[in-house]
Amino acid sequence: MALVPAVSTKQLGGGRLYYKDGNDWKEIGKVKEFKYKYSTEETEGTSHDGCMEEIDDSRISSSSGEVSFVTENISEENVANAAAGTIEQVSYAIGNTLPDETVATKAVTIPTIKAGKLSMVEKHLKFIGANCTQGKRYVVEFYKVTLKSDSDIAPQVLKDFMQIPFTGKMLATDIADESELFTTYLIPAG
Amino acid sequence: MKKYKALVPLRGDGGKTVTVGKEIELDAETAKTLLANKQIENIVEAEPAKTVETAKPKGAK
Repeated sequence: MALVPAVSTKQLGGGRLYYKDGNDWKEIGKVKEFKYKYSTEETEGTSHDGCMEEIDDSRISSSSGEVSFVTENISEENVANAAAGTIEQVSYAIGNTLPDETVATKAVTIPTIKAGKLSMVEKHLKFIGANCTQGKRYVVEFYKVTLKSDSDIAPQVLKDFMQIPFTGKMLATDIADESELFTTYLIPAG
Repeated sequence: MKKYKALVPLRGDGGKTVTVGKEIELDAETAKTLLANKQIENIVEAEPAKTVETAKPKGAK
């Protein structure tokens, strides 16, 4: 019997988070924290041969996962996703009163997000880790995540940048190559 | 471009707010619309004071 030591695989955090938009991957941008959690539930088999019930089998019977991230990128898409909303481009002519109660001196189009217009915000996400330590590049792909933002959004706090927190539930898809909740790639350096 | 006085808060260049009573430079077409809406007014320049020549008393050199 041999003692096999572990090879050091330390990774520094950092990377970029993208969502699939048609054939492109668009960056969510300025992601401050990114976490995911994979959970399983077990089904236990028991025997009653003796005086006590004994567990004699244990199998994973279901799995689920969650992702969470915080972004400081206050883009139209991120604000809309946080509010389960739709983006409308509203045009204002010269002389019209704008939402900030000033009057337009030039024609302007303002992205306007109407909250609660969608019953579900579903994204195909990919995290591409930064290769900070010349080690493996850590890439995780989540095929179907329903996103929501249920934490505080505080646009008026001056000492911090505005942040939008998101949580999401991983879901299985019907697509053959993407039927698992997520896939991890460890891309070797060099 | 001519200067006008804001009668309501206006959205100026770069999105900066021009508060009531402040001046803003506008092109003629924009000014026409805002003047019609009574959102700006023309700045009336004060006429320069006229110099009055006082008649010299008779006999003065």
